[in-house]
Amino acid sequence: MDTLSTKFAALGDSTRFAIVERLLNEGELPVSDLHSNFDMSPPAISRHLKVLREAKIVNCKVKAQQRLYSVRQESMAEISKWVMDHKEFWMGSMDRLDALIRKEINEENE
Amino acid sequence: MTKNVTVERIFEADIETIYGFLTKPEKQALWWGPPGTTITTHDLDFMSEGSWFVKMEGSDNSKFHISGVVTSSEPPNRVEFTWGWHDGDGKRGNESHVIFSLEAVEANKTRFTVTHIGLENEQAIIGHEKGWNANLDKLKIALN
Repeated sequence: MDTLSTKFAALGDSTRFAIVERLLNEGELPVSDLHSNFDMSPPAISRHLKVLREAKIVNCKVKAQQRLYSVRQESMAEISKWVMDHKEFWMGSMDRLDALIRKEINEENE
Repeated sequence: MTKNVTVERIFEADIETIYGFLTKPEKQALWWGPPGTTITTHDLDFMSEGSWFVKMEGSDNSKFHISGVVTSSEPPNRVEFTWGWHDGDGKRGNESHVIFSLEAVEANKTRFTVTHIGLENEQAIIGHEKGWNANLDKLKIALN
């Protein structure tokens, strides 16, 4: 399952959100770093990472016996598309209004 | 903490023409929403007080639903209305207030100002439960 609602659900947990935030800020991290950073048992962290993997929010790759986690940029892009900035909304609307008014004036002048 | 957003621009038309675009249903539906969005259904009529809604679709099939009440309409200078995004289940989120104000700068130049007051956050999450705005703000900051 990697639908958008799965992603939102996965990020809805504060520990998982903190993991993703840390990966966004610091880039790729070995799993051991993630374990040491949260006040939680390694198996609990592993379960959270599994949820994030399954929601396709994070990638995990194995390198020299280390598991390295990183955020999938495609997922972040997908999430940010669902965000509507109010300033963007009104500025975009004004662009369209401007085009409409120009069109109407041109038509009147013809 | 609430935020206000103000956007203004000068349009090359007289104040009555612009007021028409802001308040007549057939005209309003032509420009609401950023480029790439299409209004699918609406009840926009800002010439008189009463409830309104729009449902829009983005080019990526994302769906937006906003509704509110026109609280005052003073031709040709001012319209005030409430605003609330609906989530994917149709539940209406926090209410904010919008003021459209018009001012004749010259005979054929009109300043249109949108003031969006009392936004819980600068961004609205479309189709999702509330509480997400702060998280997405954090994500955006981390992404930049």
